Amino acid sequence: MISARMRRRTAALAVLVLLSLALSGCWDRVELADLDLVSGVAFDAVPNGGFRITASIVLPQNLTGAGGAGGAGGGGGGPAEAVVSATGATIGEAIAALGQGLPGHIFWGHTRVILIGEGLARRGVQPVLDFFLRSPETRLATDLLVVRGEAGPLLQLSPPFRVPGTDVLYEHLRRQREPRAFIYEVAQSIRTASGATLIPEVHVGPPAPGGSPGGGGSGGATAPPTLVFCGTGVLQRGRLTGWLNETQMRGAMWLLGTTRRATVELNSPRGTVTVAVDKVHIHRRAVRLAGGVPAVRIRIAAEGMVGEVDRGKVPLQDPQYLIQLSNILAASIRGEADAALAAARSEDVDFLQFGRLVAADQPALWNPVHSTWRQIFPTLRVVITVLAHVRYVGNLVRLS
Amino acid sequence: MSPHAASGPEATDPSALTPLQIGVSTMAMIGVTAVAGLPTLLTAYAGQEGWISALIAVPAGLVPLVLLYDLDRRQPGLTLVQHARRALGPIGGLLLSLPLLMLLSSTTPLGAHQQADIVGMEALRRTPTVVVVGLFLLVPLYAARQGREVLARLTTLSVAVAIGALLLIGATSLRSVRGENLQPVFALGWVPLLQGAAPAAAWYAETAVLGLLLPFRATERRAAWAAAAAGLVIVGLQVSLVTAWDLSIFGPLADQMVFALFQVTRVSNLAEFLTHMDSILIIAWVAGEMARMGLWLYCLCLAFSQWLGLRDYRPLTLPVAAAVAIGACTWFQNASQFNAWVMRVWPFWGLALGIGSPLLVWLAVVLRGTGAGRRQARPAAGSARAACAGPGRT
Repeated sequence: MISARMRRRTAALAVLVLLSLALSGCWDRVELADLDLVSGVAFDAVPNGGFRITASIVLPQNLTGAGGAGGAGGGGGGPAEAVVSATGATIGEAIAALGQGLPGHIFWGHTRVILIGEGLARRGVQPVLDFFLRSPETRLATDLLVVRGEAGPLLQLSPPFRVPGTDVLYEHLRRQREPRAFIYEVAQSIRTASGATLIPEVHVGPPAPGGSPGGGGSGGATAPPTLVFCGTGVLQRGRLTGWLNETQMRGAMWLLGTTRRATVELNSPRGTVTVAVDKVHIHRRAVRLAGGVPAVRIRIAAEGMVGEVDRGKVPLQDPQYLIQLSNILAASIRGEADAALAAARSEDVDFLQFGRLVAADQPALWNPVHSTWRQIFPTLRVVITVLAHVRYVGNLVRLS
Repeated sequence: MSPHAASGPEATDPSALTPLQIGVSTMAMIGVTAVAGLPTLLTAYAGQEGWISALIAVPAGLVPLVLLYDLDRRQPGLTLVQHARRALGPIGGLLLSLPLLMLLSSTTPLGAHQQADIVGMEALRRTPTVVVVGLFLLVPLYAARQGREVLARLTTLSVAVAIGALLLIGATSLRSVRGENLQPVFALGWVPLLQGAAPAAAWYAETAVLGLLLPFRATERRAAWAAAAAGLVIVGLQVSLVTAWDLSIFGPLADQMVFALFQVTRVSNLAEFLTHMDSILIIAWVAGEMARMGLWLYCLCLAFSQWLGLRDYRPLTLPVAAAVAIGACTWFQNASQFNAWVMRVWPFWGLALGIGSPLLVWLAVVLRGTGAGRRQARPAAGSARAACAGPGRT
């Protein structure tokens, strides 16, 4: 006769066996070898309102001897990534077309950069955001970049040092830190009071002078074109409305309070000095002026160290000179901030998020003005105070 | 001797619940689905102040606990269904227990449906819903049949895993948090706050179901109820914190994100090296749901067995689990229907039944005066212990 204890053990064993069936992943089981890992993807507009998708697919078998991207070969192990492209009336259709040319299942979970061509950005990035936000595979902290011109060809470049283009883009963004735009942040901006945001810009530049051939493995004698990061695109409700140059972009970072460190070149009367600003405190606040008018006050406190003396004989041992240099630094930051503010006003786009600031700090003021914010924004009073200190000269006072 | 005396042979009863087990059971029964489902609802109603709504709803969960405490003071050791039968007799008791049974019968498949939705959408998209639900019910079914001791141990383990996973996800998503997304505070007025608090209150009022667990306490009454209240407050704080976290990351997008906690895992990373934290959350979620479903299944079977006057609840576990699986698979046709039900019907349904079920029983007991003179009365046939006898004790 079977004892109660034995019955319990048998039941427990049966449950464990049944549970082990679930470990296989059921219907969703996908072998790792059957995944086509997308490391970077570019979206472009096609004339009939459709989309062209260009995806950079990792070739794991070649990763140990990574060569150039674009299927151009190079390196002992062949190309590290293959670039494929397809078009469709919708993103889903384009992806389905893309999948037909691939051996496995397209997996978006390792996508590190998403490039959007200028044409599509001007038409609106919502379809791209919608696709990635909806898909559970994608990481929402994936970088978005806007490309002047077509985005797809950029993935097919073979940059120097035999690394895939997506790695170059991602590492640049990771090191530079700001400006950086993640999928969820751009999507968020569409629903904010101002509806605007900045998105890093990249474009293809001419080959570096004296550069050596890249990793394309093509064997050609010409140096590969370079990737140029400068400026940002301005998105209003998900549509590209304009560009900021590098000065305006830096000014916008100061005014948005996102600058953490900066390298500023200062032209003083005695020479040119580069200051590394590494302590930054930015305080943004919306205030109420007499008559119930909103205004914005921004206080920028920056502290830095002389990083390099480029030209001239600068008296760094003179305390008065460092004070003078501090004033020049403050003026430089102020100039960049003014340039960004002027660009925002001229384009009539509140990418500096002043509307959001007023809504947060002065909700009673915001409620009556939010519907007419676009009329108020160009004439909004913005008080910028910059306090800058060049405190250290580094480990060297003077070389010559 | 009362089966729930603090001393004597019953004090060593391994199936009696310690304060820690009562606390974690409360957290599992309410917290697992609340943390997953409430943040989106709270932000949909109360915007950036949703986290405040999560806190102001907590008293709604304390009301059933206070009523249950007074019922236990009047007639110790009886479950809510037994209180009803004692107050109004077999027929009246049947009617009086109906709200509790309705709460249990609706919330158990609702929770199973929600977990199938989450797992089906986030992880197992091609697996049929019935398979997901079936797999999720296996362990709870086994645990519910084994009784309170197994359930309590499973819950203690699962809640620890779930809290650990939450802390890990919180820590790894810290870089994405923007405090300004929570501003302005107290700018919307009371109406949105109260609208947001309504679904949270309905969730918290599920403490009424503890009327089927608290009588089996191993310690004195005050410690057991304090543990349940502490569990509820921790759930409230958890929901509030997760909502604030979600809001501070997604800002105005938060009310559009389905299962917000899962979306937080999509921005979290550890030193840009360990990035796919969603699998950690799925592990925690599955562990928490196993415990939660086991407790709800146990309470549902126990309530039905006592309602029908059965001596043992265990024969009901398999058919009830099957009914729960069928309900979970067929109740809602799509996610939007489920969301609409949770937003528009659940606040009234959950709150009315959660507070109404102990309130009606308490009123009956007070009006019939069945407490004072019978404080030492033994539970009748079909009592808590009789119906809950575990294996080997029937």
